[in-house]
Amino acid sequence: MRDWLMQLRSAVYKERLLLQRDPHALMLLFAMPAAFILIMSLALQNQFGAASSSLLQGVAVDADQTDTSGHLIDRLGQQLDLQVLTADMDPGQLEAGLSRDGPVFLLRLGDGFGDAVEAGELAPATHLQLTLAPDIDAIRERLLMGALRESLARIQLEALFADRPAIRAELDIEPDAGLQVQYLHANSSRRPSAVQQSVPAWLVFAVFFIVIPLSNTMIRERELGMEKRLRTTPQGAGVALLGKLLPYFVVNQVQVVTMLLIGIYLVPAFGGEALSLAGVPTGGLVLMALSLSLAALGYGLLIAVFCRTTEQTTMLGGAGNIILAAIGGIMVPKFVMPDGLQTLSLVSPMSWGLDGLLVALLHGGGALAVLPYSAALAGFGIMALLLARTLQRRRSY
Amino acid sequence: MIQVEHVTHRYPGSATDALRDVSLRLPEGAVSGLLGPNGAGKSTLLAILTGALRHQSGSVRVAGLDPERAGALKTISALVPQDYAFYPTLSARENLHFFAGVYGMAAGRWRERLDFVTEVCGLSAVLDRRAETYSGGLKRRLNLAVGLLNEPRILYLDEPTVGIDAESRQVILNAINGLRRDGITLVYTSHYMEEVEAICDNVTVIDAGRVLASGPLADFLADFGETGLRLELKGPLKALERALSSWQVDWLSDGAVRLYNVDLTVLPAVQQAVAEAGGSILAMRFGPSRLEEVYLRLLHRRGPNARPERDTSALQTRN
Repeated sequence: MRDWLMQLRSAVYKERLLLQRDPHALMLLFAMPAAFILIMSLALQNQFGAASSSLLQGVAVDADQTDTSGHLIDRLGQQLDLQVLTADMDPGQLEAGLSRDGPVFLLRLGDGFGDAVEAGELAPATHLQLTLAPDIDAIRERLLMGALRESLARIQLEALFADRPAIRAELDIEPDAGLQVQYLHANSSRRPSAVQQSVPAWLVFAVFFIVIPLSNTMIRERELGMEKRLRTTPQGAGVALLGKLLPYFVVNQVQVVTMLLIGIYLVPAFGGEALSLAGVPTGGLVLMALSLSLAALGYGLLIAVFCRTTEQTTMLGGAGNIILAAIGGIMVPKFVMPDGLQTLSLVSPMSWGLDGLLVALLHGGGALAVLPYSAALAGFGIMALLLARTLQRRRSY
Repeated sequence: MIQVEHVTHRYPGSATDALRDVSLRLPEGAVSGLLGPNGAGKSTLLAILTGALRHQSGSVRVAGLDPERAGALKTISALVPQDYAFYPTLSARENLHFFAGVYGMAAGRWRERLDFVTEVCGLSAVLDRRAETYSGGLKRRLNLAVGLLNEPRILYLDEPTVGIDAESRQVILNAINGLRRDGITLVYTSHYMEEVEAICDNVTVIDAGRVLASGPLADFLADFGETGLRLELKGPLKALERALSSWQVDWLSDGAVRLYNVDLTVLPAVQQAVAEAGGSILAMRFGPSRLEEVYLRLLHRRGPNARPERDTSALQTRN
């Protein structure tokens, strides 16, 4: 028993030193996912941010210059980031400037727009013309059309009931005055921020990247002849394996804490919203962290047994991780994927990890709520470990 | 005593046996040289003796124990492999500390063994430097130091002096001589015949997985060697081969040739033949065969006038 513990302690000591002296592995495990969290949180801030003003930028050219045209532009301006230009601007030049990164639409209100609204005789090409950037995405186009229809309907109704003040006054009531909005979120008073969504995704990605340094050290040991030498010593295979996995397991847990701290402190320091853990039960997070690590370590061991060279492990481990991340909703949210890909995402352990962490971080799910996800991850990890051990035993000297 | 009886081993996917019906006995407390060309089966035999590889047939006993099953054997034996089998990004001290843990050494014994192996292997000055910065010779010394750490009673050395400088070779050979004086059983593989001849009590020659001969070195030389004339020649090889073809000769390494069944009276005729072939004699020695000569004859690595192979069965059972 004493020998067993000494062997384990010595294997952990050795593995810790090897990892400490591998700056590339540390970069891969900590710097890369930290950069991803920072960049993606800031990049998606507007996508997930509250009442974004720059989501839909556009230009309006008002050639009519009446109260009615001004009113339409005011109403649109309340919903969109709208720049109003005078009528003598060159429309061709304005159209050339439309792109997804700048103004995405050009709204032209022609001479006689106000009269046509009051008469109820709007002629599309003459009085109102909307030009869209060629690369506008479908979501922003729908948002724009919704805002435009709502504003147009409003001024048309106002024109219709202009001579009936009682009804006209009713139109000033805000339609959503009685609407309560609540986010299904651990901290329901606040909207889930971009960092709340990107930290879990890149945290899962980071944990799975343990596959590369783990499998590389194993291959290097084989190349150095250490594996053969250790077989001639009293150190058992189980102790050797445990001694190798334990330090990486600890590294995984440090990664989880580091990524959460980056979300809480570093992202806001760069102008993003902070990750909030208010109302998030610790049990769910801990269970997910443990099972994620088990799955990643099992996967890493399997890669190490399959591969012969460090080049193979880097390629197979790296490419495998990216594919699992791509289909697992890490890089592209699953809800934007077509049905077939969404079904395919079910095979990715990263998808199980991400779903479980979102349950914990967004829904405030505890240990019981994340149990299906953590059980799937743990099951995958244990199966991979057993398969790797079986294959390793069959390997010749 | 190391006893191997009819051991055969074939690696998965291989068409030939790595070891075929190998039987040998290596005495306790002696230095036994294991000789053979690359791929002969020496490393496979060492792997089986150390318990790292499971043999497929036959039986193996090391100190009366089966290496595959007796974990205790791993605490009294050690392997110094051909590879630099340690962690290059760790220092010698850190590598040795790791292996001390592997052998379950208590702190006091670890310190004592560290002092001993660093002294014997001449590593004191570089103990805290990363092993990746060492010269080839220092790496070989660290490889040996790891093997000596657990104070083994049986030590397997797989080409411990290959490709190193003279100083490091001397340090390693001194350490091996020290172990020999202490009565440690040593099994030693090397391609350096003069080393084997200098330190080994017994030799075993293996080729293509088979034992060609095995026994005490003195008997080996006496039974397989013959008195003859060794010449170191310079000149056109083909012409020299033709010129000496009337004698019974073995062509050795580096342009050396050995003439058998001759006495010194043949010398003027040989000198004339060499001169007529356009060559010259750089050095000559008359006397019994050296190990390298016997070894090469056993492996059929000889010139066109090779003599038929001798029956080795008597020597194999000498131990």
